[in-house]
Formats: sequence, structure tokens, C-alpha cells
Amino acid sequence: MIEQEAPQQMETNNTLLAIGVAGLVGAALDLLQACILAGHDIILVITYGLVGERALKGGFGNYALGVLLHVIISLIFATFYYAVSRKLRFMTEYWFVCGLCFGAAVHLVMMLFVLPWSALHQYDPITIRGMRYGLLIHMIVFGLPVAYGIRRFAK
Amino acid sequence: MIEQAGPRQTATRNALLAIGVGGFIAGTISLLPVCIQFGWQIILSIAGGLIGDKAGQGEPAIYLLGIFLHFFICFSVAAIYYAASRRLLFINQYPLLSGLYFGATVRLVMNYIVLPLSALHATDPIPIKEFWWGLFEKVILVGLPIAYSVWWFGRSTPTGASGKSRATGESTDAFEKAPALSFANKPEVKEEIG
Repeated sequence: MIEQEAPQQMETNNTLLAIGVAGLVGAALDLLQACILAGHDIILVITYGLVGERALKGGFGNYALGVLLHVIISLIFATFYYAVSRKLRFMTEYWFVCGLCFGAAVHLVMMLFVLPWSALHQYDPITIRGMRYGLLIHMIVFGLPVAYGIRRFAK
Repeated sequence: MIEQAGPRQTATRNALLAIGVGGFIAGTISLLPVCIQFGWQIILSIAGGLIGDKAGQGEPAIYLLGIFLHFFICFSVAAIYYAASRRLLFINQYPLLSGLYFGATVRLVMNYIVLPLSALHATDPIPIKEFWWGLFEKVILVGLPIAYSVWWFGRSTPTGASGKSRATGESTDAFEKAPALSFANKPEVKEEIG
């Protein structure tokens, strides 16, 4: 009984470690680049997506909520990558290509689904420059760390 | 010498068929709905990507140039997909997924790299609805025909890579793996080969 449980527990640990590390590293790098490029008030924009205009008041609570939301979204995407990679094994084998593709897909999902449907109601036309930078940045600072994290800890 | 040239010739023929059929189908079914929706003038816009304002004259030669450019892009895109499928073996294993993703990539590359750099200088922001529609159209009308054409004609072609999974060392060729399709599993064929 104990002998059977041990590998299963180890697999669960690996899963949590892979999703946790991949999601947190991806979230940290993505938030860091956003804060460097757009200032730390970008965190309030994330909060705005959930609570609306109240986020503009600022304060520690709103910043903390923004960071928390960002991390949760990142962990959800990392979980998705992990779950799909269990079925499509090439996602861990060819982590570099798949990481770049995943980063681009995450950017598209955020632009086409999450932002328009959030409290931000982001329906503005997508600028060429904004889409190019967004795709490139998410491919590198989010897609690659998530794909590598999953490969490293849960191959 | 002749024995060596056989498989290579087959591989070249399969590659040309995969690219040719995929590119032609994608080119045809992606051009027709646009022409029906926006009129034949849209072909002049394609030519305008190369020759600029001169395309507005609307001569038959410019229409021909537009059609030629459209198919040239489709064949190029199919060739890129084929080349990638020789290195990344999972592309041919999952044609539906790869085709969907490839169609979306084609849309992004056309909208955000090719059109802004062309003589059209298309740098206007794209409304979300239009972006959505374009993405859907390219995925269905370009990505899938090319993916299934390459899958159909390129599946039995020897690849540039080893043809084996890096992790397990097993063959990753879906055609080779499928028992129903594999000649090696049929005893009568085995005997004939032997």
C-alpha cells in the first residue's frame, strides 16, 4: 500500500512544483517587464480588470490584489500547459518551439477574450506596434519560462 | 545509383505534391470568399502590395499580378509548413492542431509584418471583430488545407531528422505507427518484400 502511494505522491509533488515554479517565474518576469516598460501603476490596471474604477484609488490593497490576480492568471496558464503537455508529449520534448507558440497564444487569449470581457472592456482596435511587442514579449518572458519549467520539473 | 535515386525522387515528388496541392487549395478557397465579399477589386489590393498606387489602374495584367502574388504567398507558406514538418515531427502527427495554429500564425505574420512592410503600408489599428474574423478565416481556409495536404502527401516521405522521438527513441511517424496502415504488419506483404 505504502509502496504504491509513494510514486503517486511524488508525481503529485512534481506536478505542483512544475506548475508553481513555471507559473511564478512566468508571472514575475512578465510583471517585471510590464513595470519597467509602463511603470508600476500597470498593476492597478490589472486590478481594474476585476474591480473597475475603484482600482484607480490606489493603495496597498489594490496593488496587492493586482499582483495576486496576475499570479493567479499565470498559474492558470501554467496549469493549462502542464495538463495539455501530459497528452501531447511533444510539448515537453520541443519545449522551445512550444513555449514560443504558447506565449503567443496567451497574448491572443488575453487580448481577444480576457481584456474585452473584464471590467476594462478593452474593445479598442489593436495597434500594429502593440500587437508586435505584446506577442514578442509574451513569447519570451512568459511562454519560454513556463514551457521550460514544466519540462524541467515534470518531464 | 538508380536504387538510390528512387526514394529521393519519390520524396521530391511527394514534397512538390504536398506543397502544390496545399498551396493551391488554400489559395483558391481563401481568395474566392474575399472576392465574393468585397468584389474582384480586392485582387488589385494584393497587387498594390507590390506596385503601390499603380495597381489602381485596374488593367488585366494587374489582376493577373494580384492572383499570381496571392498564390505565390500561399505556395511559400505551404513550403514553410512542409519544411518545418520535416524537422518537427509532431507537426505531421497532429495535423488538426498544427493546421489551426499555423493558420493563426499566417494571419499574424501577414497582418503585422507583411502588410505594414508592403507598398500598402497597412499600419492602421485593427478592430477586434475584424481581427477575429481574419483569424478564423485564415485558420480554416489556409491552415487546415495546407496541414492536411502535407500530412497526406508527406507522411510516407523520409524526413531530414531521425524520425524518432528524442525522449523515447520510438518512431514518431503516425503513418508508420498506425497498425492498420503499416505494410510491415501484413504477413503477405512481408513475404513479398522478403
